[in-house]
Amino acid sequence: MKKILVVDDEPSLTRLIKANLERTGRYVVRTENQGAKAIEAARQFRPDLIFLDVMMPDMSGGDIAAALQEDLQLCNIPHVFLTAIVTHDETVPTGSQIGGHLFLAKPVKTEELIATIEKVLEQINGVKR
Amino acid sequence: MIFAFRPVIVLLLVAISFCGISHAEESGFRATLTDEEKAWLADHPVIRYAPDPKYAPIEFVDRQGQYAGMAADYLKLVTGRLGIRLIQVPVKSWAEALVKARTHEADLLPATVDTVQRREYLLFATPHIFIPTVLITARYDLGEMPFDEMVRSLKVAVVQGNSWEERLTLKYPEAQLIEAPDDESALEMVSYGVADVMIGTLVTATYYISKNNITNLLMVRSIEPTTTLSMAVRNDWPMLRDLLNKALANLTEDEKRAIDVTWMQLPLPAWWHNRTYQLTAVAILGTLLTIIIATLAWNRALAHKVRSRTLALEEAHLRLVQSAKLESVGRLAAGIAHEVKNPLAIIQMGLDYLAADIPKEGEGYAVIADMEDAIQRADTVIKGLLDFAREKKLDMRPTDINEVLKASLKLVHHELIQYNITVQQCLAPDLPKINADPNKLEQVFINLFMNAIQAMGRDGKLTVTSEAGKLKQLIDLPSHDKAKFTASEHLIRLKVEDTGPGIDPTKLGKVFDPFFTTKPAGEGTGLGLSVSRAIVELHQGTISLSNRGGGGASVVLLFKTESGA
Repeated sequence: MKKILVVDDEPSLTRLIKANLERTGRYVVRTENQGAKAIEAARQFRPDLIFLDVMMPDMSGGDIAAALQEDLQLCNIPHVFLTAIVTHDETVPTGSQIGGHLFLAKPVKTEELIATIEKVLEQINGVKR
Repeated sequence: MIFAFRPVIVLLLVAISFCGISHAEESGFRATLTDEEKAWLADHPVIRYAPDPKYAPIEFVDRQGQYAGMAADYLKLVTGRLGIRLIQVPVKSWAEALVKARTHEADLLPATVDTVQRREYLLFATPHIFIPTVLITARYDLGEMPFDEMVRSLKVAVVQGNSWEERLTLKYPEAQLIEAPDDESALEMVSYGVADVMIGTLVTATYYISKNNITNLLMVRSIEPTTTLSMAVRNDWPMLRDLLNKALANLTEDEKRAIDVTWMQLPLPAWWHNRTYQLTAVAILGTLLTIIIATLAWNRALAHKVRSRTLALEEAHLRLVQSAKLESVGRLAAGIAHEVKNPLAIIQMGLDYLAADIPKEGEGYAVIADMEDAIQRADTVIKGLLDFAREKKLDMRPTDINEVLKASLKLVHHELIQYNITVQQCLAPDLPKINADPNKLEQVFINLFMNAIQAMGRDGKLTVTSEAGKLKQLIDLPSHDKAKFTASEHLIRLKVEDTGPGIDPTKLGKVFDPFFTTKPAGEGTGLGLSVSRAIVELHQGTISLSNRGGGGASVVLLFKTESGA
């Protein structure tokens, strides 16, 4: 069971993502709706992957990613941004990169989430092996 | 400057001596006169004198008609002693003065050389002025030539009536004498080569050479006899000659020296003839002129710079406004995207959640699919808005608009065929190129063509026109388009006209607003014309839409041409 942390300020969205992912039986999902608490949640939960909303009122996804990078225990956890603000040209299903960061454009489909998780984790495991 | 004032100072001194000393001298001198002399003077209170008008500085008549010079000063002193009043007999030349004396129209000649011929009608007082006689020539080869040979072989200029004329005529009958009215003319003759040599006095020659800035004359040498000048009186008035002699003898050395100092010096050129002064003046004037010209040029350059700078600033400002607008549109678009896409994301996730429990063949699943389509449509609109907001970078190059129009028509060829639409192209053959991004303009034209096609439906006619000209030549422009250009600016006008229903007049003002659309729901994003206008305005152009008189809509685009054509 892979552990996924979803950070987004929309509780209804994180609840639905959690439901959709856990329904597959392959993932355990924890959600966090306050950006500022994302790091603490990551320390406790030790996820395999984190989905980060970019635009959040208290702390942006970019700031959270930076804090993760600085934490020796958390810096190896891959993260994928979820963002609303991208153009046609910038989006590719299952993840494009902006400035070296993987992201998915909202509205995203469950199948895209799963494909991205699998792809990222496979790459990491490949490296570990 | 001090040197320039020296003659003035001397004159002042002379004047003071006249005022102070002379009266005493005069009264003392009168006492020495005999009764006979006094009686003669009483009988002859006025003496008429005829001076050489052009024999400076010995004697001359100045511009105001005043008699002046060494001889004049002597005459004033002497006649002052005698208490004689003087009347000047005006003559034009020395020769005329001699004639006046011979005919007794003049009683006295103030400065005359004693000659045999003149003794026939003149009595000479004791000589009082002595000036070296000189030979003057422009020929540098005459230095060693004996005087006799010179007179015999060369053309000699002499002043008419001058003692030398008489002397040379008598001694050298074969001499080629050229008569001149005065010393100045004689010098000119020598300077210009009319005569080879002239005989004159050191002071007169020096005076006129320097006065006229003659540079090619040499004073070869002095010759004998020295020019010895006396006052001469009519030969029936010996008493006057005696009186003059008595008065001359009475003159003090100081008085004589004052006159010599005044007139015997080289005439100092006026201070403005001073070479240093001239050079300085020329330098100053030159510098001033240079400064003035430089200042003018600088001002011009500055004005030009200011103009072009202002233009650049205005342009920059325009771009800034443009980018600020775009930025605010960008922020707005980002805000909308965030606020709309999050709900869309929730709906999408909700649909995914619900879909898991719905059989894929059933009607419920079709509902899910429609809802997903709706999400995609909304997403497309938002992405389009973001595209519009980021439409900033242009790849500008000289562009043939006609080519872009033709290429754009090709890209909608499929639709034109599908709806059986006739295309009429009225493209100006010599359209000047404009600086533009052809890809972006293509996007604009395709937007306009697609709008027209969709508005017309089947069997319409699309007219595409391009023309070039000045604003004032392009009539029937909406006023807000005109305001953007000046009347003499060279412009390109493009027109896209369709035969569709036109636009509802109440909605004409909104067609360029984002998300405004007249198309059925789902067929247009409402962003085509907004994006088009943004692109046109980035090209410093204008776009306007109006209804044609005969039905249908007409879109007019205006662009500036680079150099005017």
